[in-house]
Amino acid sequence: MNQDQVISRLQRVFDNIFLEPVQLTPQLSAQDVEEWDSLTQISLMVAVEKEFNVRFRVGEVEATKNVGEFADLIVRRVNGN
Amino acid sequence: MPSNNSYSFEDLHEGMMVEHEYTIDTTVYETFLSIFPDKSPVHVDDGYAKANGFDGIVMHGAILNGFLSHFVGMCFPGRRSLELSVDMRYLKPCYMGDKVVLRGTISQKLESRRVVVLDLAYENRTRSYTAARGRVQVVIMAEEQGDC
Repeated sequence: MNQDQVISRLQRVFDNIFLEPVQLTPQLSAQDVEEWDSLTQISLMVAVEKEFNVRFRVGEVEATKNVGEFADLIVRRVNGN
Repeated sequence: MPSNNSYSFEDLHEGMMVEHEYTIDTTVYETFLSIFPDKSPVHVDDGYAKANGFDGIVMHGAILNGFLSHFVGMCFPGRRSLELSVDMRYLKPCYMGDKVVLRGTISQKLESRRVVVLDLAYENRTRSYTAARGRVQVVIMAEEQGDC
């Protein structure tokens, strides 16, 4: 699984959580989306862990700067790293 | 509504389930109406409700949300809980006097944020059907002072 494939699946996750459509790009960050606050972030993490069957460690999602880095983290976790 | 549980995040695990029974009695109904006066006819006019296919006045769905607040805050996960979001689907009506068992099952733990997801089922024991289903996200806060 690569970054593009992860972002494609992430798009469906985002579509189910955000009330307003959000078009994902690798450069997109939470600062770009008004609705993407700390509570929405938790809902996203819950949905992403379930969608990709992965577990995140404390602080590592917060350390990602944008969707591309978040997708890369998911790729690493899916691949067992 | 006795119970005063206080599960820690570490106590909780996926698949863990707790039930609690509630009764929608006149006190619950009238107190709800006095605070949130939704007096739309299906909730207060027996004839209107029956003319629209119900067995009588329909209890407000938000009463079930009130039970959920007690359930999460006092039963499971208990006193260290804070609800982050609730998604509720009302499937079949509840009526005055019905006994409802709220069952919460942990379907997911988000270790990095100390959040648990509870799948909810409201079983109407008086009418032998599932009245509502839902999902709630709960963050488990640090221990209270004096906790041991």
